[in-house]
Amino acid sequence: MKKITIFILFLSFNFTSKAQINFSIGKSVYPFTAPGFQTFFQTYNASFTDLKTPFKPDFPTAGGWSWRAGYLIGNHDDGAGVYYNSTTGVNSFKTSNEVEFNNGEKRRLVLQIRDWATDVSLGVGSDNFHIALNGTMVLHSNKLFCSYIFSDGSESFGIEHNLNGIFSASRLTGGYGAEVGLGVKYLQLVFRISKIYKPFQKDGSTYLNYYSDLNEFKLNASLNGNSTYPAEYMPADYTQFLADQLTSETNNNFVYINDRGWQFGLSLMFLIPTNN
Amino acid sequence: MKNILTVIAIIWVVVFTACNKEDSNTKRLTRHEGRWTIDYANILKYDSSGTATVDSIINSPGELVLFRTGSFSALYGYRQAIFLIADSLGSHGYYFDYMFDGKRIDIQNCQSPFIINGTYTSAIDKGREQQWELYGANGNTAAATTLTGKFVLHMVRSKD
Repeated sequence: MKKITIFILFLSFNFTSKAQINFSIGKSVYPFTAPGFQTFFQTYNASFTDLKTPFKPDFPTAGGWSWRAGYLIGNHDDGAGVYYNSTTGVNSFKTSNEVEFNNGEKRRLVLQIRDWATDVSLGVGSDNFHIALNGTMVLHSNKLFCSYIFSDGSESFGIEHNLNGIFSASRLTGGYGAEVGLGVKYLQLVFRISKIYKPFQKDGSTYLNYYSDLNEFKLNASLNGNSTYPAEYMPADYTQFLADQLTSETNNNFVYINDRGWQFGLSLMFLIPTNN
Repeated sequence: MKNILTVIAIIWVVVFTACNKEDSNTKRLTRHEGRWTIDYANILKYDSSGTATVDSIINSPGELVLFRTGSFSALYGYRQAIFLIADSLGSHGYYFDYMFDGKRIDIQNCQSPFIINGTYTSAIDKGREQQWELYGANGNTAAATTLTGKFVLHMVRSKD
């Protein structure tokens, strides 16, 4: 019965509603916690006595932009009705954290987050207003740029420092959220909040990927003598990593892709009517 | 119907792009392929106080020809390239393998007398200008090290 009701509800959109292609672009922020990085920052700070400015305890709030395109059904000329919008787009964020040594040199971590998302929003709306809940399928794809900055300002991703490199991790997951839109006929200002799930395997255990060297670059370089001791992953406990890199690896001392938090976005949605 | 197909096409493009993110490195390589004139190489060495004790500039040491084709050694995305050097005995070409991931460039197997093998950092990355830098430091634990040397290759796109 429930399936039939949903089917009739979806079918009714075509007879009672207008269909509109829509594009939106806007700014987003992502205040998140990342336990693996918290451990790294803490243990890195504890490993050195010559720090002028230590790492902050976690990455600061990430900022960025978002865009999406979709197909909307449900804006009514004569009052509110069902609002259904299916969109695909990307939320992109960036944040950084760095430590400075007494001699002016720095270790910098820049985290780039890309959420490639397909959403379905369902709620109520009219020509100039809507409120909806949404479900999302997300490819959460992160890149960590780990560099060392010398006192002359040169930023190195080279192998003279073992931790330098580009580390990547991604996971496919789901999410949920809500949005409110206000505006005039073909333009709405949309405020949106969303959160992605922590993924789980079928057996119930948490499945997460860790940050590993992009394209095994350092391993390849090591095969020809351009690198002798490649760190192919981002360690969580830096003290353990320093003590014995091999043991650190066998102990799964990795930073996993487990950042968690609500994402907030403010965007402009442009609507293009396709039928009446 | 046409509009629905348009939306499906947009969604497909976005999903397709998302699923092929690793290929972005290949796209970068494609953008860099071609001939690049090394207009100068700079060799710097520093003492423990950070003062440069050697600052040597070699003008026009040669030309790099970067190909899209995968290398013979086929190490995970390495490409073929040739280092062209012209001296009093004529022009010589030296084959090498390289990989570029947007920030790092690894050059391997180059047997030229002017040694360019190493793992560089891309300091300038523009359509017609590139600068690759190789650093030396007195340590490998990310402690407060000091810069002991720097090798800079500054390149501009060759005029065909």
